Amino acid sequence: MGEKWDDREFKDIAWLIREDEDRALEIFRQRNFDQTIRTQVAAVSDRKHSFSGLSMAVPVSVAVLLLIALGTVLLVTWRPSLGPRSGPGPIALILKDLPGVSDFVMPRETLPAGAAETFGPARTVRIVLAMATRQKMEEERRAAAPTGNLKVPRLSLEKKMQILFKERPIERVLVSILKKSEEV
Amino acid sequence: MPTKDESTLFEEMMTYREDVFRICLGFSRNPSDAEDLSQDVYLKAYKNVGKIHTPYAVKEWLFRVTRTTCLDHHKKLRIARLFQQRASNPSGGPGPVTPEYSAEDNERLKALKEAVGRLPKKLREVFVLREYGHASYQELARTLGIKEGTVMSRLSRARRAVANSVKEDLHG
Repeated sequence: MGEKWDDREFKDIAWLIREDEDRALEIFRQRNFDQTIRTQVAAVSDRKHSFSGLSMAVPVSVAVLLLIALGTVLLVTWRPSLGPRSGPGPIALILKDLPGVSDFVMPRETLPAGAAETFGPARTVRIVLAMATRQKMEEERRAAAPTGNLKVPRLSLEKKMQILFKERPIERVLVSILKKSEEV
Repeated sequence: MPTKDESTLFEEMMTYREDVFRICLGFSRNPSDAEDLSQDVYLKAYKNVGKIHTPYAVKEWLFRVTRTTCLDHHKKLRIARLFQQRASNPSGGPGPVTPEYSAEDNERLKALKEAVGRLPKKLREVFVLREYGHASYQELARTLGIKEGTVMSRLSRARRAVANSVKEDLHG
């Protein structure tokens, strides 16, 4: 016992505790507790090792799968490793077929220098810029063209009369509306 | 796997195995349970040895693990006994005495064990750690996270309660 109780009443208790301890310790010392613990600790350590291996394997395999999926998506979308494409991409083909868009789809040969080698957003921007420039130049060319060069078709008197005759019903309707409004 | 320092700490812990066993005995009041509890304590200690931030306080840390393990075990045992009692004695009367207790020939020892078991948790942990674990007041204060004065007052109350309880049991 670490301490002797002053009170005689408690000394009896202290003696009892010592006896309880002595009896139990006698059995405990025969059990080879040290060996038991070391065996259990070794088992726990082995389990820890196997668990740590497993716990590492799961995230690694998930990461590899994600990388593969990402790589596949990139390959399908951009195809960077195949070099310059020989023909237009699937989106360009669809756009080309659309009315009104086909005029703006430029052949590869007309792209600015270096545009053919680039891919991705930079290439798209270059194409759009090139198309805008081309359209602007076209408009400027049209505006700058001398008017004398334009051939205005000459209409015969008969043709003029036909046009007027066709517009006659419209005129009549408009006149009738005007009259009604005046009456009101 | 613990590092070299952790292995050293664990070896240091192993030197307190009899103290740990005595504390477990004080809490469980049964040598067989005490041995099982000691094994649990050391396995927990091995798994958490890396969490010791103050290597000089290994003893207190180990005693804290012992105390927690024993109190948890006591809680589980109490719940199990409650179910056992209800199953065998639905009226809620006193349950059957375990064979280990009935085989105990020393009435005084039995009275002591029962008296310790009847102590409230706060008094019991101080009493067991001091009388069975032989911890100093300072170690007790560090282990339980209370002041030394509180340790002394709780210990005094616990001793008085145990002495009175044993006296009543033996002398009616």
